[in-house]
Amino acid sequence: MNRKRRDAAFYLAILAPALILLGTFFVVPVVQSLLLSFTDAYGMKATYNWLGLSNYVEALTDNSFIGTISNTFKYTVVAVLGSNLLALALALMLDGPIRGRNVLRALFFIPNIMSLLVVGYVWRFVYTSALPEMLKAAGMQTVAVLGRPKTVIYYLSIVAIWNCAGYYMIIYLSSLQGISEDLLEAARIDGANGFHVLKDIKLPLLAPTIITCLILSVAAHMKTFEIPYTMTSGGPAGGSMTMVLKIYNTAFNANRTGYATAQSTILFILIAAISFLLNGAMRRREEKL
Amino acid sequence: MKKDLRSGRVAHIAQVLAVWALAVIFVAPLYFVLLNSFKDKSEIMVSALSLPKGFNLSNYATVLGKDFFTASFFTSVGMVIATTSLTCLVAALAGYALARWHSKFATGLTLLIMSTLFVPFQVYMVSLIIIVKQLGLTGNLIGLLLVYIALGMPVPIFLVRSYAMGMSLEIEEAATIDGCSRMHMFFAVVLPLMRPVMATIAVLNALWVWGEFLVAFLVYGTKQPMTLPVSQQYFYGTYSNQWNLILAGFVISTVPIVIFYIAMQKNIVKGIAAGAVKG
Repeated sequence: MNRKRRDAAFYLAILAPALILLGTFFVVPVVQSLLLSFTDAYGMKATYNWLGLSNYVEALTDNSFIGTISNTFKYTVVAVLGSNLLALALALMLDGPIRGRNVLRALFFIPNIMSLLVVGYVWRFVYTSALPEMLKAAGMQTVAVLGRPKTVIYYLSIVAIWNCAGYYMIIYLSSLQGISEDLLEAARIDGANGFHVLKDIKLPLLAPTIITCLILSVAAHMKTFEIPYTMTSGGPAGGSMTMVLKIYNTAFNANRTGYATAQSTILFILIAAISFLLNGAMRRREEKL
Repeated sequence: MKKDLRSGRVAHIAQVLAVWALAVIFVAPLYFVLLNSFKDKSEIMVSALSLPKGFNLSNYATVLGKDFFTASFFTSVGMVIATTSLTCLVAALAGYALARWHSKFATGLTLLIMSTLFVPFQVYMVSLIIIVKQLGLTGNLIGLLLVYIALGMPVPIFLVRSYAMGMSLEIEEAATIDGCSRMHMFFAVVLPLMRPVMATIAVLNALWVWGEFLVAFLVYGTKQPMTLPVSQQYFYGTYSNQWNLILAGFVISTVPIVIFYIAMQKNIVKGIAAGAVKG
């Protein structure tokens, strides 16, 4: 008994730094965020009144906020599908014997180690200076891709794909390397061609990894901030205003803390719901097998 | 059979071409940055695609001559070293405890830390900033350091936990029998054994801290000396039409991390794969 207690004291002592940080910078703010979302908290003002659900009602009836949900969805769908398809294709091609594959792997990964802020500014330069000039040189009409409210968000998705495809490529590659060589060899001896090996062996074995990457990338893109912040500030006409940028503006420019935390809760519910659905899809698949 | 071989070869060539075409597209933005960082402002205005007139380093000299830029460069170096080493320490201690301590408390705490992976920082950033302000930690590098450790530690804790679960208990038991205190044993025996996982954690953490913008911007702000990403936003705001200087600044801030990546590639790849499985 004495030994058990001494053990507990030791473990608590070495857990203390993590516990304090977790409490101060995760548990307390998450709980407080939820509580403030039902109040009219304003800036750093210490007093506020209970409002019930009215911040949530306001958010869900405010067209400018609904617009940010729709923008975030469009951005996320294109970025998630684009980056995962590209990453999967790259992983499949760079898993095989191809000359210079280590250099290629590194090339595709480099955009991912750059600061997202730098990525945004670099692409602002590409879209406003290099791309129009290339189009002109090719004899095509130049388009101000960041100036069109209806399509601007998709051009930001392209930046996201550029930034993160290499990251998912690495995850897919490590999963491909786990597929046994014997299995692939056996299939080939049985006369399976490249397409069949891909469709009937590699993709089914990759399925759990694909779901994992989808969950990771949905969360990563739903919370995008730096790319719209640096490239368009959410414009033109709110066409690239994403949820986190809106939350940032509500909280730190309009000072409406209570309303901003309600918007944050809605963001969390959306991310959680999508992840939950994807997780469910994975479970169902596993049960079938 | 012969036909098969030939179609296989065609497919292979198509793959090689596709990969290299994609590689060119991927590198193009970086090439534009590098190219234009050697031009002066008027040259860029005339053409963003033309080759520079000469190998002109004056943009680099101008950027490096700005005190706030060099100061922020070294601030970021310091932040990376401090955050990374403390994150390793905190995660090593906590992950080891969660692996060895069989109690309801440890199970609950593991679940709580796991839940942080599903709640992105952006979801509670508003109230986090209020708390940071109430603690008087805004505009304070120590405050930023603490928030960085808190936000960066969950995945490292899990990496350590699963690593420690795979470590044999015999060595630890032998050390205990030799009369070693547990704390002493942790630092003398356990921590050295965890070196591989520590390296992975340190490298991934360093990459993140070097480029991180939003947290630094909200918690620390634009007080001098800011971290490098924040100073680049400030730089962009101040010299918004001087792409020559802005792009040179990007090159200076990105080259160290690319070199770091090339040197540490193995650890990074291992860490990403392991992190994805944990996440």
